[in-house]
Amino acid sequence: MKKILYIIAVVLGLGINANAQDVETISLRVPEFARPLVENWTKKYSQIHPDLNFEFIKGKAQAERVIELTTDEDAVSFARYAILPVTTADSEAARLTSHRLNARKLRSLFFVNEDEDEEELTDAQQKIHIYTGNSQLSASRIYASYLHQDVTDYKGKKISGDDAFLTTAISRDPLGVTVNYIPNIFDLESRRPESALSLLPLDLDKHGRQVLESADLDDIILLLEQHNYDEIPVGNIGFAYNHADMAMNDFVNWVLTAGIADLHCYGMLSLSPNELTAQLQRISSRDLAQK
Amino acid sequence: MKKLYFTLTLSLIITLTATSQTVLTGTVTDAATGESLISAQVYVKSGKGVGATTDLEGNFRLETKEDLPLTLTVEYIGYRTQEIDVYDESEPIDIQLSEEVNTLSEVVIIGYGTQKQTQLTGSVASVKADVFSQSKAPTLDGALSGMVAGLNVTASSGQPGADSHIRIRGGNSVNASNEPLYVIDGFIYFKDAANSGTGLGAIESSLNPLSTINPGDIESVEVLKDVSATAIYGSRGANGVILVTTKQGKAGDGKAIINYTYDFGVSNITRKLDLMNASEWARFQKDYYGNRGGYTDEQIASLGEGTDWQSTLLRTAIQQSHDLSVTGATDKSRYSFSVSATNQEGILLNSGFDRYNFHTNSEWDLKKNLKLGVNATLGRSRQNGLTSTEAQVFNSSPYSAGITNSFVYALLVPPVVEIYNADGSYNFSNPYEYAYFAIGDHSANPVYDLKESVAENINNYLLTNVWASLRVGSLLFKATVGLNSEHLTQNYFSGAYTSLGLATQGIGGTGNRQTDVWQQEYTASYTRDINFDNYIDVLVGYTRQTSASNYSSIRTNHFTNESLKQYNLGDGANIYTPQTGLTESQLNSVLARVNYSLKDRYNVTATFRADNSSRFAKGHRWGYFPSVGLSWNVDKESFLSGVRSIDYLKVRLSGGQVGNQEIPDYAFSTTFATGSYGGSSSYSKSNTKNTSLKWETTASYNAGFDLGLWRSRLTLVFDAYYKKTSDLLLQVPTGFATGVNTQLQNVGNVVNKGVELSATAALIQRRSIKWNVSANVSFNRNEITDMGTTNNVIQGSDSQQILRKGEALGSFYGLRFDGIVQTGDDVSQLPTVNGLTPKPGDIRYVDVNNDHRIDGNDRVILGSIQPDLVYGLSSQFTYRRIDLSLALSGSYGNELYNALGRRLEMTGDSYNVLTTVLDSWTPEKGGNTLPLASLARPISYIDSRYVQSASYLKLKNLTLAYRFRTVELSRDYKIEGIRIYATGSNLLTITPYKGYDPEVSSGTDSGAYPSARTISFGISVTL
Repeated sequence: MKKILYIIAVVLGLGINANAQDVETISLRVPEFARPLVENWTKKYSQIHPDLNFEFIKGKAQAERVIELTTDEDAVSFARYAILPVTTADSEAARLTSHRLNARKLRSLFFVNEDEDEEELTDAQQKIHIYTGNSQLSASRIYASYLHQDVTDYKGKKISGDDAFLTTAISRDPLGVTVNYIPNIFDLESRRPESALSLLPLDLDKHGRQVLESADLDDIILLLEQHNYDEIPVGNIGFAYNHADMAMNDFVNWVLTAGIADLHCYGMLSLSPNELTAQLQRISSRDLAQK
Repeated sequence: MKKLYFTLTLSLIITLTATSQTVLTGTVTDAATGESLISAQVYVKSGKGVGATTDLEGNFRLETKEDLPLTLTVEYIGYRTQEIDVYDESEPIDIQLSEEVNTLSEVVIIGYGTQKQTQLTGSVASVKADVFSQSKAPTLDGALSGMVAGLNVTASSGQPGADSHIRIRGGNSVNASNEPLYVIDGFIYFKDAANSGTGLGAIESSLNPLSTINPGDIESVEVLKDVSATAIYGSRGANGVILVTTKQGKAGDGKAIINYTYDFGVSNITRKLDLMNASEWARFQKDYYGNRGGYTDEQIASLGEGTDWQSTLLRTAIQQSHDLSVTGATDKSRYSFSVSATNQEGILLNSGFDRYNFHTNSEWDLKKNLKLGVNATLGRSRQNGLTSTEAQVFNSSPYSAGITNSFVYALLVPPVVEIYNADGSYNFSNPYEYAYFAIGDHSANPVYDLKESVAENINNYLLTNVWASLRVGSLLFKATVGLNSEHLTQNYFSGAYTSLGLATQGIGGTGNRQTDVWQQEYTASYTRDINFDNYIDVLVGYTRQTSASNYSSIRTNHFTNESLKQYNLGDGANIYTPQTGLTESQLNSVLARVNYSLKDRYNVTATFRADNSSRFAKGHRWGYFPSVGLSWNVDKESFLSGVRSIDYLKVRLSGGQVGNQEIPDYAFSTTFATGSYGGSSSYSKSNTKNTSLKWETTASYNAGFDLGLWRSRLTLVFDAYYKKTSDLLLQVPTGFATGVNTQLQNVGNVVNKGVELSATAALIQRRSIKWNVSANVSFNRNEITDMGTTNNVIQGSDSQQILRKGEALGSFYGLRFDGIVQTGDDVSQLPTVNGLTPKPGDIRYVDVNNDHRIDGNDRVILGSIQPDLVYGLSSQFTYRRIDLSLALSGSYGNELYNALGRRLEMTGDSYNVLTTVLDSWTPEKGGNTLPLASLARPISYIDSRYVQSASYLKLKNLTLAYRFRTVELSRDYKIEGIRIYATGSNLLTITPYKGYDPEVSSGTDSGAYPSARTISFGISVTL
């Protein structure tokens, strides 16, 4: 009988103990290029706040408390992305695109021009297969907008799903060319482009060209943090979430203060100090919190 | 045991099958508008028939056994087919399709809706916004000239703000209107000629009803030509329909587009008449008319040029306009706002046109599938024109003597008469004027006349439409309420020293007309792709339009103080009978249309409209107007699939019946006009009832094709048509017993038949150089095929026109000129004129009936206002940032009665004449065009010398422009485009016509305001 009572007491105790932990779950919707970075942050933050559980969701999966990574201006920015055109290393496409490309040539390479004569097209324009992404956060959308083009005017094939699949797509096609976020192009360990990939040469200034040719991730990040180019879109990414939710607000605050140290490591560009300060002020302001 | 195995195996198969299924979901939308594409086809490229169709929300769900990655193909009619590689099924696939850019994939605006060009069965021509922005014409009719095959635009005069006559495939009617119906953003806009004045008279020009629309606001104009397209407008579709769609922000614009355009131009007369100068005129007077001026030969030689009255009335006119527009869209709204100001001086003193205009076309998504929209145009137009002699009868009628307005009078004043006295004051002494415009020692001075007279039209207008639409599945319900409210004010004043005020010591008046047209429309439409092969849309609706127009005007004369002109009418000692009136009308209609398309190849459109108009007699008010149109996209057939040079080929066929109700209100009933007689009120019968008055109906048939060749480098549109108008609304002479001269009856037929061809060629389509050329030509034959018992109706102030079976509407009728009787001719063999045998120097006419005398029976048809062919050509050449465009238009085979020329070759001792008169016959030098100068006019009928060819070719527009690169002002602001341009309008006219301008819409050039050549410069900035 005592044994039974003891077992009952242990079970109840465990149950009480389990209830006492009361873990909160925050969902994160993050595209692949930023996922390693955000996963790293959640791990670190969970160590400080074991009461918080982070789960990553995809697509239109619904959740009550969601932090969404976005390029919207209304989001709380924490980093900048950069997008580069890329092809398969040592491929026919790489050979055809070996000449430096300025913004006009990039437009001509990537986009349909109804008025263009077939006989006027270069070899590259005729033969290259353009691959573009179709998701809302695809680099292809940003790239089209940056070059003042319509996303529907992209030549070639569209792929559905995350931009990470673009790399897969061009690696299967020796004539494939695409654009992608830096973290999707580089091996974050070796700090070099993924073995199958090669950056398209761009018509930048001399220093810029040298950095791009070196294909060193850290040098490229440094270059793009300091210079703007017509050929390389750079923009803010941030978190969109319910600012009235203190737990999520605290997490974002931690990202802006501690997490940003990891940005370069994961292929992201830092915000300028002024902008970072502005974002911190935003999340601490009463107005925003009430939104 | 076997049973157990079977069950296990089956379960395993089911499980395996289930696990290997890939489920893809997603949405297909229009890339430009963001709207869902219903019934788009989504299938796995390698899946052999594995596919899905999008639902009402554009969503699809597709199950396939194919492994990822796989390729999806997405197809939708009129859109570029898209292939998409799918690597991941966890997220819905967002597919945006963009419209295919070729002529046949475009959506065309038709009555009460839109239709894909591929499915269109009717003959519809579109004119896009750039035509209106380049033409610089202040009203849209000026820009349409030469742009559409079968559309003939003829300016009524060169008066700024004046209207044009537009004929689509010829004129159908005699006494009812021949003007097309205008539909502005869904509002049926028709200006009754009967309701265009205030009863004031004496003002030469009326405001163009289209002046309420700023051409800069126009997105497109669709011209509906054949019955398949126009029958939905039933009783008002017979003359064709012009649909005007104004600009609106488009879904996806995201940010506002702000545009400002400033235009500045100078205008000059295109052509002057060659009138005698002072020396020539004085010599002529001395030689032929007794030298009333008493000039010696020395004095005549010293007179030189004298006063060039024509030039003194002309000026270099300035015009300028400002246009500011904002268009854009948000997630839930599309909007457009514009304000514009136009000021256009006329090339004649004290004439011009100005307009201030506000326009909006906006819509909001109130809730899912519920939209609300507002179109509104609010503005004010003002036109200063010429005073007209038409209504004046004193000292006989100057109008009947060819002095139609104050400008014509200036041409007639002898060049030996000065404008100013030595002290700088106006000279009101003209010893040669003794017929019309002189009282005692005073005679009219044309410069003073133009500067001091008032002939003003002011129109304050509101044209607005409010609509709401609700989509329930495939059904769309739409309700629209609109109002066109116009207030016209006419001001008139001719002082005691002006031509029209001389006899009455000044005359002035003011008049007002308020016109309100209410329109209600309720439609329901059902649109559905039934399956891959069948598309149907059905429209049913009810519309009601009510019009009310009231007017009042008053005139007084004999002023003691003219300083306040028409604003001090109480100073006039004599008051004319005030003019007041009210007219009301109603039109109730039900309409229906079905479009059906099979396999995107075979299309049929059936339309029906029933109208009930208050303008016709009871028992005859309902009119029924059906039509059927067929089209076949031949290029989709397998036997043409191998012909790569053909992009598209569509054959069209249509037939049906439309009507015309544009006659004055109450024409079916007996009406009386009020007046005063002997100090008491009086009534006079003005119309006698016709209890069988009904619709004029036009049966119309059309066959045509659309052809696109070599990647649409060359596109051709051809149409042939036949239109027969029956039960013509005709003013038929009646017997004295009726108490009126004529009565409106349904008598006779008119036939129009013709062909039209339009071609557009992209001659150069390189990245940096582009050259496009568009041309159109149309041939039309117009014929009165029946006149009942009322054949040979003579018309015109000089009896110059006739309605006759077998001839065209607007045929000229007169004697055939046969030269001048020369010295030595056997005059006894010549036919007599007024009983007299002609003598050398007299005119010879052709004795058509060989009865040896010239009289009215020798009159023949001398031509008509109907052109044999009308053509236009436009071209745009672009080299990098420079573009050059030109537009030509012309007509061939039409004639004008040059009444002004006839007046100015009529010799006498009062008025100036053309220098051609110097070549009049004389015994010494002969001559074979003009008779010996004489006051005598042997016969009043017009002759063939003055029915002149009005064929012309005009360079309507030549524009050179440069576009600057985008300028970034800051991170948030940049100037998207700056365009500077120089435009020449009406630069060149090639014509054999001897008057000012061959474009005179009435067909009789009795001294119309001359046309101007304009050079303008402008800048357009887009943010």
